[in-house]
Amino acid sequence: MSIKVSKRNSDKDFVYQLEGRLDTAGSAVLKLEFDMATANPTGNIIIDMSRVTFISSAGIGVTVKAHSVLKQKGFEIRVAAANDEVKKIYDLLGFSHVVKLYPTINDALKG
Amino acid sequence: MLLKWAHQKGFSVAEPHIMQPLQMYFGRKDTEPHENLYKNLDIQRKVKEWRIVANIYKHIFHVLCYEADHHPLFKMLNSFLFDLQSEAALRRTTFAYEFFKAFEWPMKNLQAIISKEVMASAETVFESHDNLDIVVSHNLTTQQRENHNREAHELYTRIELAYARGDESQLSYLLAQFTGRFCNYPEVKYRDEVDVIIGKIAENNAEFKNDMRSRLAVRLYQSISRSIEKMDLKTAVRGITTYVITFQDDLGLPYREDLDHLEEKMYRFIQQHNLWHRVRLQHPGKPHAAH
Repeated sequence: MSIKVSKRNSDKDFVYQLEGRLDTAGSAVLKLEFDMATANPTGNIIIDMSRVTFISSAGIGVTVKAHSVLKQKGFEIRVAAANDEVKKIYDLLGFSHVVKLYPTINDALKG
Repeated sequence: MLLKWAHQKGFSVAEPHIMQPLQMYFGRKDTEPHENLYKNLDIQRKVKEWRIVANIYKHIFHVLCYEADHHPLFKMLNSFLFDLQSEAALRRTTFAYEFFKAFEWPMKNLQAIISKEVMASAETVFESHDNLDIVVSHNLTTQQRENHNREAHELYTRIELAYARGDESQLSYLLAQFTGRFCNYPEVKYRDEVDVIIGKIAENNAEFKNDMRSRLAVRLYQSISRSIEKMDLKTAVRGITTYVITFQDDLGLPYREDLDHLEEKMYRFIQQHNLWHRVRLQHPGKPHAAH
């Protein structure tokens, strides 16, 4: 397993802490989680990426898709505490304008 | 399947894995010039002579993949494969059985062979390039734009004809060819018209949609890996962005994990040489064919 996912509530929002690599294998795990979470959402989804060591287009695709599903229901995906390289990859591919990136979990919770 | 493989890596693996097995079945190498061969093949095709496929393969795999789409031999091979799909009697012949038997091993293993080659090639490229000036930008000249529009028009005309005929296998091939060919060029004409046709067909036809997506994924992967081989990182990045917009969270596509590996090598290279700003997209392309 290339990624570990743990989830907790924070008021109406959900915080997903990820640990490992968001490549195709890791993203498949996250996609399963998000498919359930975005079906009947009650709040935003905050992704704590502080322990994500690598993200490929697969991981970005999963977050972008979940974001577009949530947007239709009045919520959004927020990426928090990503390392410099993960942030640069979002930016490089042009998706840092689609999914918002926050320096810390608290910043992401505040929105 | 054969078409997908035929579009990989300039057919460099064709000799040991396709040509030699064919020679086992069909004997000597054909040394006729292409023009004569084309005429002969045309005659042979009319009488459904079986040597046609062997002859086509012997020549076609020496043609570079982007040129292959326009090569008369490739077109002929393509039409033979469509015949095989549509004519049950043809599929039941001894030839068809032996043909596919000869290709059983390469069919099962070619993707792995190609993956290995692409990865090794990318590694060599990233290790050997100190001259960072070759990370080229992605601006079309007026002449290139005109050529692309002309090519797009020709393809779109064929798409319209196939659509009018209701020929789904041909449509799937042509639509993937169009979107794969022009995915990195938002300025090229007919993209909206093609999207409309894809939308109409895919709406109630899951099989068509899956087939299209699979073909397009192979095309995009090929385009990205070739850009990396040429160290055209900006175009590679644009291709990856198009891939994300098009496929989003679809993770079951051909070469999906290979793309991970290519990306990782490329990002590492960009980091090492601090190229983030040089290869960054300034204006992301508009979403395209995200059906």
